[in-house]
Amino acid sequence: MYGISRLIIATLAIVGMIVVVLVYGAAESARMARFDANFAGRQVEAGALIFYEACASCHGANGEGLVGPALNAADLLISAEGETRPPRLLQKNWAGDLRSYLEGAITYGRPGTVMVAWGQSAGGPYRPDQVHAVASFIMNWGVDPGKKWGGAPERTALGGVTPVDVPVASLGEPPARDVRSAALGRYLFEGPLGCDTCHVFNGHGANVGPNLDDVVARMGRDYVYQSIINPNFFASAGHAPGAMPETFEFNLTDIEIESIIDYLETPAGVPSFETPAAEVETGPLGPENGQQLAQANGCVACHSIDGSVVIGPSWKGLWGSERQFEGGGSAIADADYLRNSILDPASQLVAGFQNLMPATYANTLTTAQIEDIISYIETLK
Amino acid sequence: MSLIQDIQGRGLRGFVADKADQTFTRVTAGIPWRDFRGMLRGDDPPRPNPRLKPHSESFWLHIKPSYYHESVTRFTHTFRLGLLSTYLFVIEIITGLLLMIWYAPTPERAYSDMVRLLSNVPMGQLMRDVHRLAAEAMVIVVVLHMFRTYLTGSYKKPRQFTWLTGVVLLAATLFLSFSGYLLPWDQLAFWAVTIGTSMAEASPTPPGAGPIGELLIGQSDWVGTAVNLLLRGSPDIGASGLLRFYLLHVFFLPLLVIVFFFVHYYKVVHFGISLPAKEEEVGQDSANRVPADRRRYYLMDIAIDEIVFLSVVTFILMAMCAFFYDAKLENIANPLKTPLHTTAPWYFFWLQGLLKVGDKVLWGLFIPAVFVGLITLVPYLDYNPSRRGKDRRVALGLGFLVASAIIVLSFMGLPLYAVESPPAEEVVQEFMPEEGVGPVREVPWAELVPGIYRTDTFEGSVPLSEFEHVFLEFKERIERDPGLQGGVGSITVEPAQPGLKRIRFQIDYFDFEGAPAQFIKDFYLHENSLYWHDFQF
Repeated sequence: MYGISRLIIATLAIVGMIVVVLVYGAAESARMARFDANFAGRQVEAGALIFYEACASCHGANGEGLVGPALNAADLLISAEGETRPPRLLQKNWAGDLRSYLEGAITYGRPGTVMVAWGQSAGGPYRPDQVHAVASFIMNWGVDPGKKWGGAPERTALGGVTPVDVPVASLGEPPARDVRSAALGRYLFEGPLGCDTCHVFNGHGANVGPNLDDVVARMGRDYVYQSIINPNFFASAGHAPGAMPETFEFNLTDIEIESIIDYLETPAGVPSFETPAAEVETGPLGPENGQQLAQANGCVACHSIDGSVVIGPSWKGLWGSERQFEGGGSAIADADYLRNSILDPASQLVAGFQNLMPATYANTLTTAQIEDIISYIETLK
Repeated sequence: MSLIQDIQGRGLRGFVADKADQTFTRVTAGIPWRDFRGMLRGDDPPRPNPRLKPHSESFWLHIKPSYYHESVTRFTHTFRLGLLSTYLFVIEIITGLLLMIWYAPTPERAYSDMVRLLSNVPMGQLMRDVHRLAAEAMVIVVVLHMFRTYLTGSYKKPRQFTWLTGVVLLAATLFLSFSGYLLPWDQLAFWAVTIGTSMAEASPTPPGAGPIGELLIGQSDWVGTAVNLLLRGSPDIGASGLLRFYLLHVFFLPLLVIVFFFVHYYKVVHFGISLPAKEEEVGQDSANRVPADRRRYYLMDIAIDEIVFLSVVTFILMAMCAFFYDAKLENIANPLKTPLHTTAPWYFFWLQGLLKVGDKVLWGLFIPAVFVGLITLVPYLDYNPSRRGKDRRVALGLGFLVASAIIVLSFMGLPLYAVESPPAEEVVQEFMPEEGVGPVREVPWAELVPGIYRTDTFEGSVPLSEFEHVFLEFKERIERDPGLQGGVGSITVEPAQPGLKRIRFQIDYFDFEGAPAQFIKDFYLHENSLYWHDFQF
């Protein structure tokens, strides 16, 4: 005999293997369904990273629409009863479904507007799977369209260490586009064109493409001009050609290109496009302007206007009340107190709150704008 | 004699029984039913032994020897590692052919084909897991096989050439595994292969060969560039690189393995498996002269041994893949973004470790080339006729030294000893890696309660929630790090969309020069991503 135990082991192993495959196979359809949901979820995650890098500056951190149209909107995401497509697609006579509409718009852009082509097939920076992920992210608002979510957070200071770079400024009124100016250049660079999603200039932007500090001084204006309209003509060492969109030649006027070069020529510390000299001259415009500024600068993300405490103290009933400070002391909330708190949030910290407010408004707001916000707070007493 | 006469002569019953036995004998390649029954029962073979017939009649059995020396059939003599690596290769071919049905080797399709395989093909994931695990196991088994051969001195005369073909098979196994790495076209694949092929780029140009390069590609330092170009098909890995690796993986390298396997195995059978050293005179080779009383026949004795062994191996492999092991699929390859801690496959860690020792050409190319050359030529360099341990102290010492050196170098090749990123980035990578899971993603989605969690003001609830446990680790990790002086970290969890949360890591600290620095990184987590299910793909 060969030893019956050997045969028993072999039989057990083969039977065991069949059982394993059967048990595994029985759960297969559930596993595949889970994988589908799982993969869709990760598409949304990947899309979110791209959206906040490249899209939020024009379409809003909540997709509420700024320069670009609203994306977190029922008319884009929800089909009416008995319709096959959402109203906005019907209005544009779009024959495909919502995903193809979004992916088409992202890939090819909207010619004649600042929405450039983002898909690689049209000369943009993103691969088809990335465009797909962004569309998944936008469609994820469809569960509850129009609702306000967290939005894009500002950089905050922790533990008394100041943030190294300034928060990305939100878009204000765009400068005139037919007058050549460094301010227009900066507006285009950081705003609708999103150059800063790939290029660092003056310590701001993402380090994907070449750093543009001193680029004009080093290479000359002609080189920069050529590189904007024909990005692959000179490929910078260490950077893959083909990553930068080739659409700027068609989307930008000469004045706009020259303005961008003017901006790249300026040393650090150019005034933000939000505070061109002309605006500093105008006096305060009143509480209505203050309300808009409070929205645009994200004040209301932390300071409610209905008395509830979100992250900072509510503005409701703030005016004229007595404020107790962390570490003792108190003051009446008047214009001087508010001005001081906007410019130097840490100096008179109200008891019970942490110092989470950016200390950057001295740089990003004009005196007149601060007065407008104060007058807006006064109307909420 | 006609059929009718035949039936009349023996009777119908005898005729049918005869015909049945003839058919049976044809199927078993020469063993009649009576002998087959005795064979299964384990009876001693009659003389002449009918069980030897299949070894001359059938193709597959003629490859196998009809009997072995009793002493070499003990499991601990060879651990059956050669059989095991052959078997794993067969598993690779079967699962590989199945996987090829759902795969197209283009950058546009490769990754989505993987996703389709995992989401839409029943048993697709199991096939992929088996293919991957068996491949990694094959690397280990082939290396152990070689190490065993070295320790028992079996490479000595007359088996030098067997060893040499074995080294070719080892190299082919490594490159088979490596070329398969790229095919899923995910971040892991893309960057591991980018690193692997850029090692080839260090190949130096021999002195005097410069002018050839000037002529060919207009560059005097040309060998590295040419090798790289040959492998990748273009300066960077793209469509042509993927196609080349695919063809290497499914065609060229398997063919090479099959050809060299038959040469290797022919030599093994021809010379026989070497006897334990103590049963042989020094300098003798008596493996092929097996006394009749020490023979163990392949049919059915050894065959049953092998069937039992391979059944158990298959069961373990299937059970591992079904319940414990998942071949990972990372995010789609992104040539513009190198993930932190990119490494070569683990079996090339020793090469990465060598590269960290010093110069790329000397340590990355010259030393490994000398090492591989020495290993290949071991049987021709080792003049010691004895295979006994006590006579081979130097050879065995060297063997263990090289083995430990490779293990140490592999440790040095780990990402742990990689070029460190700034400390804050490392901390975030530990808790929420760019690829893979990490502790924060393992926290159930519902337990990531929105809020700002700061290390300086953190007071956990009692008992600590799963997230708070992780946060406490995060806090201790920051406080421990000498590179994060006065470091304060925060994790902000907030809803970003329906079913989507933003996890923002922020670390403010003073760097080594005392200047304030800040590191911020955002992640998004979707409810359906189910990382905490340990559901990786």
